[in-house]
Amino acid sequence: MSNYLTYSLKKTKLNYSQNKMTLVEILLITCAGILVFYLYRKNISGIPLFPKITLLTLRSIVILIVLLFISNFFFYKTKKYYQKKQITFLIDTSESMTIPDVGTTRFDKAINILKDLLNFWGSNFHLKIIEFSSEAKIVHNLKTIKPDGKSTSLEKALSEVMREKSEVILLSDGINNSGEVYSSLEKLKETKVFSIGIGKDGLKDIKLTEVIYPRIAVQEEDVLVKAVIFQENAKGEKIKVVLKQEKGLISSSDIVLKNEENIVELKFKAKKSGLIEYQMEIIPTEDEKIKQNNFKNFYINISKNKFKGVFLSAAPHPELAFLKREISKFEKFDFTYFIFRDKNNFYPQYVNNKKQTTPIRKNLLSTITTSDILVIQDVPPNYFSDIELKEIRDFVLNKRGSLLLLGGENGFLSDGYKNNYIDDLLPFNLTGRKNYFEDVFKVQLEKNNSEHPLVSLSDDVLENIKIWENVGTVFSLNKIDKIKPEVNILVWAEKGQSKFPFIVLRKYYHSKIVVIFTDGLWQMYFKNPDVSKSATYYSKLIYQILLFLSIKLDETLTINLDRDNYQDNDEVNFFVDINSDKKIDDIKIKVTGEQGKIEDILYTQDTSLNNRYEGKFEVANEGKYKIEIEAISDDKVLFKNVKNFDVLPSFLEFERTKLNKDLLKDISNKTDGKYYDFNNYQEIKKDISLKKDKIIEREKIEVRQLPIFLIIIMMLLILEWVVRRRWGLP
Amino acid sequence: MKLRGIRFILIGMIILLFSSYLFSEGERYFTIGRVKYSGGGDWYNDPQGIPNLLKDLKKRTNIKAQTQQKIVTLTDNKIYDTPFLFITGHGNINFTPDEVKNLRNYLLAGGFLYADDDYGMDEAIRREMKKVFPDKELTEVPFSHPIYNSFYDFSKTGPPKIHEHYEGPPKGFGIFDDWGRLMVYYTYNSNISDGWVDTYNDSPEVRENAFKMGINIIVYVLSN
Repeated sequence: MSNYLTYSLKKTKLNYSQNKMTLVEILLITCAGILVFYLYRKNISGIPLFPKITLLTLRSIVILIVLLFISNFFFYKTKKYYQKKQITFLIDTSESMTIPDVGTTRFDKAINILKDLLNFWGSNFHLKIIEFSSEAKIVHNLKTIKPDGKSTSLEKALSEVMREKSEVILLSDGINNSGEVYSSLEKLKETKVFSIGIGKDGLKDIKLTEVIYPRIAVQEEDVLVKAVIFQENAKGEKIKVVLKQEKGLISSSDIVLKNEENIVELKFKAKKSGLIEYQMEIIPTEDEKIKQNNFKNFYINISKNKFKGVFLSAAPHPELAFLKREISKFEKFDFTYFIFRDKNNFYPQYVNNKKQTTPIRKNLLSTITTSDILVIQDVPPNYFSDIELKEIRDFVLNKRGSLLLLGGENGFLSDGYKNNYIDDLLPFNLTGRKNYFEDVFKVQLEKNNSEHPLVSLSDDVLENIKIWENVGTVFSLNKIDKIKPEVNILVWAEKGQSKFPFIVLRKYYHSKIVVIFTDGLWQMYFKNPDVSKSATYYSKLIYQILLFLSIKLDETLTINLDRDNYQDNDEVNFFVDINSDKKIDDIKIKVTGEQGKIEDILYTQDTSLNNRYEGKFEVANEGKYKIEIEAISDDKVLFKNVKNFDVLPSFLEFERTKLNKDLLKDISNKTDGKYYDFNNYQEIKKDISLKKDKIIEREKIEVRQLPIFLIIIMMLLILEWVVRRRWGLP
Repeated sequence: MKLRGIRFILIGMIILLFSSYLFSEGERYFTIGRVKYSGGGDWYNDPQGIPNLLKDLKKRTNIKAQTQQKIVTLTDNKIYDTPFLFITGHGNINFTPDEVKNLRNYLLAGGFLYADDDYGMDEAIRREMKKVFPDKELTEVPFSHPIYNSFYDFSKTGPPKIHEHYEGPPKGFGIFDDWGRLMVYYTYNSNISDGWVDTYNDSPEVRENAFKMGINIIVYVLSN
């Protein structure tokens, strides 16, 4: 009671501050009380003590009651009563419930269990039945419910019972493919979910879950492509995996499915160069219900297989020897080496121990301009004439040449390259400070670029990340921190809390410029004790960099979709790559289906890659669709391409059809309920008691609402009048 | 007096700073590791030879080099600080199993070993190199090989004769890796490294040839 009093007083205080009328009333009553007391004292002096005290007490009680009345004093009254328990049934009517793996279909089994429980419990409880698939709704007639061919959203089902104080019986196979279940569970406060898992192993399905492939490959060279195949109820089955190019078979493999996840490797040699579309396909087995997930399309950039390069080096150096040795192993690259003996002469040249013509200065420019790639290793800027620098700029900007700059003490000096012809090509700003330091730096791959072809030491992304974690340390670095904004940092060199770019890429329209900020790759390789492994990785890194820089694709606009086919209400993610020398101002996108045009298309430009756009839209209905994209430059359409895709009837429900016992158990455990298999659900009859729920309700009663208080006041006032009359007081 | 003292300290500090800067600059430049081995074959022979060669290398080429050699044992990871090792002496050499393994790794990873017989080392170096590469032979390096023409032209004469220890012409032998790279170069009956010191009263022409061939070997290693 004291708590209520405290509360009511607090509330009163609030009323004072918020209700002007109440405040005025209190003031008036207080004034009236003071006035009565004053008049009484002034005019009735000399009255006997007993009537004086009696009158004073009566008037004080009246004033106190009036004050309580005005201050809205209240208390609680408790009521107890009993009511029937509510039990809510959630019945899964999604498409996967049509699977007949429990003697009958899962849905029929669920209905049988429901009827059995209803018969057992009779009418001793309040009943509510909700059916759910992609949506949830209350069932009024049990005869009307049936599987509706849609996907499953347990989230929608649980949100229907979120606000109820009820015991819920969930009859489902636990296959959930829409919405998030666990966040819904946190919102269930007074609801216990008892799950009955209905289903067994489900259907047989063989699915091509992923294709691992190189983004870039070289003509006439082995290309390794891996297919990741998931199987359900098909263990031990022999299947055929085929790889096709333009519908023609280029490779195939027969395997026996031994595990849940199986990997098949296929090799082929690319015959023609360009951006080539391939299709990986698992030939469907006779009794396989879902064939839509048996194939995937993907693109590989196949480049020509011979490249010319020029390597300029300031002087003989272990880095030069290391790189030259590695490059000589790559048959695709034909390099000419210019090693400065002084500003005007070069060392004699041997490639694979065969003497070459000693390079002469006047041949330098013509050799560069007929090459695909120019490597400059730590050459002091003043070794070049203005004409040569201008030609190097022209080679990169106008002749689609690529540039690889290697660090060292001389190459990135600000007094030379700054403000000269190639200054604006560089991916960094020169500051004028000494930037070459010999120290130990840890090499770290930039996470956002773990799939970038330039630093892909393995076609498998996770393996690539692992390789880079163990690639070792670098022992010298050009610490450049003024990187230009559009430059893509691929690898970092870390020292304590500080990190500096180690390998960066700048795309300058079609041209590519890569900088490696060290002349110590040879030491990284050399100081790694595991020679056989490191040799492979460092060699691969150099190969990848040279290949990435050398490849020049035809000018094209390509459209890639994130999946090969979609289902209704799916989100379609698309990627547009425009390989062009010209700057693209914008793109125009049009998507049409059998139902008409899709208006709501979102897209953005990926700033890390020139001329790449990505976007998304939703497809509401099944049918054939077409996406058309135009690339606009200076108000003209430069490129146009079209891609067709299908939105198929939903097969999501049949992709993983095994009873998801774990999810159902989780739902029950987290809500203090219990899980039952469909064949031992009888226990639920004991676990759920139909004892009536005791309901305790508290009713708030305000003094103002009680007429007795008014009567008491009136009676006290009358008593006061009687007392005064009794003693003959005015 | 006080002022002179402060000035003296300041100048001293500047010299100290400057010299440490120079020292640190030189540390990362090219040098040669002299192999300290067991077996009693005088690994330390002619200690001034390498510093003299490196001084001449700096004078004649644009290669950034230190003028001090590094003394290394083959089990020491310091061998990986330089791509160039040098071994000489007269008499026996004995590599331990760890040294054999480490030297093999070093050479396969891109390192280079120059062995110069200063009389009586031939049998030992051939035996020990067989331990390092049991599957490879020391074969004579043809005069057309870049090591004879990387900077100076020895393509007609082969390795120069500095001191004659045996009958016959001077010879250069090599062990090559699977890609055709010369990993080990061994000069027999030539003794080029004796020409890098002035203790044997050799003629200026003979010493000049010794320096030229020494520089050729270094340029070859750093550019091929």
